[in-house]
Amino acid sequence: MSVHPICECGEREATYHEVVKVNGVVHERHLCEVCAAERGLIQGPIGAPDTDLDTDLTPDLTSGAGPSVSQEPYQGSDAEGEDSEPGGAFGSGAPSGSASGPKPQPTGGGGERRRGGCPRCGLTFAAFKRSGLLGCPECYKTFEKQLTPLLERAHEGGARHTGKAPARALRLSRDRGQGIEDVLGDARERAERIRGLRRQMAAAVEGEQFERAARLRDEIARRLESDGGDALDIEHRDTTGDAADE
Amino acid sequence: MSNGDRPSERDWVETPGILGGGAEWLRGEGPSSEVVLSSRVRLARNLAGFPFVARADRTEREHVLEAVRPVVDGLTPGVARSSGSSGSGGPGGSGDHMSWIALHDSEPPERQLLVERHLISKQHADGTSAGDGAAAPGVRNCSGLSSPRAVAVSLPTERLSIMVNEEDHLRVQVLRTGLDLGGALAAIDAVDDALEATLDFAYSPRFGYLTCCPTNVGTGARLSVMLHLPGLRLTGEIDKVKRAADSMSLAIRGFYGEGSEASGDFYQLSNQTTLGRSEKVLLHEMEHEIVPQVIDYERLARERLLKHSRLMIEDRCARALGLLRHARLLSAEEAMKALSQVRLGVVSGLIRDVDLRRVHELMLLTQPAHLQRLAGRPLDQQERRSARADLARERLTAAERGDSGPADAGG
Repeated sequence: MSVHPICECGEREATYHEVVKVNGVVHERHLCEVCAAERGLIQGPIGAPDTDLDTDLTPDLTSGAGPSVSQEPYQGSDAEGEDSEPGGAFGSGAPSGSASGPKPQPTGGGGERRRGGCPRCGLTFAAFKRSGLLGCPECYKTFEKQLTPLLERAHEGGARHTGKAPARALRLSRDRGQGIEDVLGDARERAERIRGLRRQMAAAVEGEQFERAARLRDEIARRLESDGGDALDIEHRDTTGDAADE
Repeated sequence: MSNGDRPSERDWVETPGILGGGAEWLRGEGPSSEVVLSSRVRLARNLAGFPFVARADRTEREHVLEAVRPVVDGLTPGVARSSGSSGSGGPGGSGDHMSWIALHDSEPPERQLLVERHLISKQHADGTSAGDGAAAPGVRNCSGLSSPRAVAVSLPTERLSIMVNEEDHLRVQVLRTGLDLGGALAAIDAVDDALEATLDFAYSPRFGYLTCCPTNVGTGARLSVMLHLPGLRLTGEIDKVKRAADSMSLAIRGFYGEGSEASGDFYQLSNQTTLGRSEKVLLHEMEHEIVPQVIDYERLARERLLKHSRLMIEDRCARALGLLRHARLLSAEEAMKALSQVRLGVVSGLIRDVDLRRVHELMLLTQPAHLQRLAGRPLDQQERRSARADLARERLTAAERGDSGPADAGG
């Protein structure tokens, strides 16, 4: 066994090790259990122990050729739930304000569609890890926390959709006077997306990829226009350092 | 609006026309066609309110088919979107219509034929694209050949195909000859809008289009080009390209996509990441940065070879043509390798009495299901080798005589 490095917090031994390749550059990250759980990289300790809850959250999304990640599974034996989210990742805590979707209704009587998984389709995270396939659109919400680091690895740091939005859905949500939150996300979401684009543009300029930078600039302009301004407001607040917490 | 005078799908698959026509990539035209056979864009889309295919039982999968079919039947692939940006026409040919093929009701040779024509994946043919049912232990008897699934193809050009109940509810693909990812993307964008005008797609502001496998989430778009890289293989530089692709998160696959080996120096290059970059940025990267670089490398390699090892190249091409014109038994691999050499000879001007389309046609027609369709009966391996050699001999000596050859494409 090799000696474990110390976590970024400088306090504990790092047991979570991650190697990510972004644009050909290798980034390493070594965290202790507590920090890793805080960042949603591993399942944090949750109040009621559920034997179905899985702690080693590393399905190999990229099957083989992708970035390699090694980590030691968290055993979940101590530190009762101080850092856990209200309700826990598998609890009822649905994101606020989501207009869509009826109440979770386990369809069919199979024992598999049970508590502990996605409230909509019943898929457990353990089952996802085995197959690499999710069960339904709702799973993205249910497992958002666990999926986020996996998505960043699989998509070279990309964590947020930037691109086409369904045209009719967008039009409808505007017609209904609901604004564009349903489709493009709330102001914070949109601002984050634009920040991401700005970062990409800066990187393109740095790499003297000016054509790409110009394209990104156009895309930013287009998005700011369609966003109508509130995303911009938030962005200014954020960049001046007095962003309000949500 | 029902079938009317359209041929039924079975008519199409059984028509002799399929053996010569269609298949956009056969044309061998378009920008950079000496290196790029075809450009392809595919989109992964799922219906809101349904479980993903991997977790859908038989009834739910049937419902997906029922929901999708009328919308797909109503597509007019030959018509360009009125507000279309690039004026590159509709996704299909001007006279195209959509033909729906229920794969769970189809015969194995039919499915194999579709695989060989790049219209469905091998997994979709076998009904294994949505995993082995492990994701849904309650869902039994639903993976495999009888799993309700379909493909819709724009005929006769085959430029647009839509797999239904593959890994995602919808896998839409548009194909263009040569390097034309921009045209393919504009066309598929129009199809996507037309579908979305009726269907509700699963989408989230944060993650974009939601897909069964998280590696496709976001744009759900995969842009790919089919490259012919004999020069880089001969100079031994192909591994460099592979490493470079790897470092740029691109995938290099074989002639038949995921899990297939490169055959006859044909490689499929595609993006891996779908989250965080828009379709436009991705398109720019692929079409204006990455692919042109690979094309330049290949051109350079060919130039160098022709300059310094001309006799060796001429010899290889001539031998390959000789093999195809005179052999009595040909394995699939042997035929593909020889056709690759001949292709290099044709585009380099070393072989003048064979045209590119003829070479492409043989690449398709010498595949097992096509050979059996030509023969009109099942053939065992030895019979296929013989039939393959006969076909190559016949088509290539006809070319030598300057005939247009038998059963030429109508389309």
